[in-house]
Amino acid sequence: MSFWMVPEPDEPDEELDEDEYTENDDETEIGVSVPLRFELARTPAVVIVVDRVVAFGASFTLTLSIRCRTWRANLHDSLFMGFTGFQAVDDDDLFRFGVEFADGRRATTVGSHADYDEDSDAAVIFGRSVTDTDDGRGWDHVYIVGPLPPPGPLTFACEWPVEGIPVTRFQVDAAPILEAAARSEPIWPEP
Amino acid sequence: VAYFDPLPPDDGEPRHGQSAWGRPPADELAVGVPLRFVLARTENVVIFVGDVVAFREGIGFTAYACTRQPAQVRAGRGGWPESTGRLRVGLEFSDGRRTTDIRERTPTIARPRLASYSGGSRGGRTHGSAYWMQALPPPGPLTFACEWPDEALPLHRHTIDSDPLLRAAAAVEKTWPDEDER
Repeated sequence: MSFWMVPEPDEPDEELDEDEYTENDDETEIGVSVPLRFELARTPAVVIVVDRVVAFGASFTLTLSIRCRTWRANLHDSLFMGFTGFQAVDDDDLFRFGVEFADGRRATTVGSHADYDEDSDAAVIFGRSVTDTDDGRGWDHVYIVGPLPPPGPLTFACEWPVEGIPVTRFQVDAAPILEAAARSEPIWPEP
Repeated sequence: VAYFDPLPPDDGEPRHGQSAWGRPPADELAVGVPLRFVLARTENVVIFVGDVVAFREGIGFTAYACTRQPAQVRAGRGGWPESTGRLRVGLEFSDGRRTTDIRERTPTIARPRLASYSGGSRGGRTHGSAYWMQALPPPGPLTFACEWPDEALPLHRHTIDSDPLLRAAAAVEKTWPDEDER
């Protein structure tokens, strides 16, 4: 099985009722910045950096910065269509990104539709926001990953076949994220 | 003397803040600075700063505005919409220079420039607006300030040490160094 294929959860997600909207950690907590930055992949034409990691009580966010040397018309679709399922997993043009916990749980941007569910142990990653650069050749995409990883190695991975990037992994220790998460405070503390 | 200049009435004329100096440079890979702090807190409003990044000649950050009840005004792609009572954000350097996000019709060259260039909402109660300041502060204390008349938030300040920002700025690299050689 490829890195990007993650088994579907046993129970299909029920349609979210607006009245039952559950706020994510980054809407209810201040969060604590984690001093973590690394280059995940680099080719003569593409640079991919993970930076601005913020830990919350039960999840963390990160900013994935993607810079391309040249602009092309469908670049944005290549980078972000994975979430929508509009492109096949084996499409060489599709950029893939994911994380793997020490216990083997994995979440990827390919075909991921699930919202974070605090009652589930399944790892989930989804996009929170995206900002492009002035020259149209770069994006900063904020992802939220939940739940928190267990202690041990935490692996980030990406693949972008059309750009000559094979499955590329970078491993960090989850400890700084967990230590920071323990210090995250709610925006509205209980009286 | 008020910290923030009054916002001029919106007469439909463009103001500076979205020009070349209104966004971070596209040809540098910013370096994140692990800073996140509460700038202001009242019973109904919390303002905190996060996502601080350094560039070679400036810094970026996001000001998060949280309201206990859903706010009436939301930050959009261009940051906060212009209104006389909107959230204002400013910075003050250790040498006394000060800049705010009040967009000027005629930019003052001598002043370090601060612009809100994008924004968005998380749920209905947390709104973030990204800022770009086209200047590096001098060493020493750097004071963030905010005020939000529409939410009855008076002037609040929070001072940090600018050294981590300056160290990060010194580590910033051009994304494509060879492009400068052409």
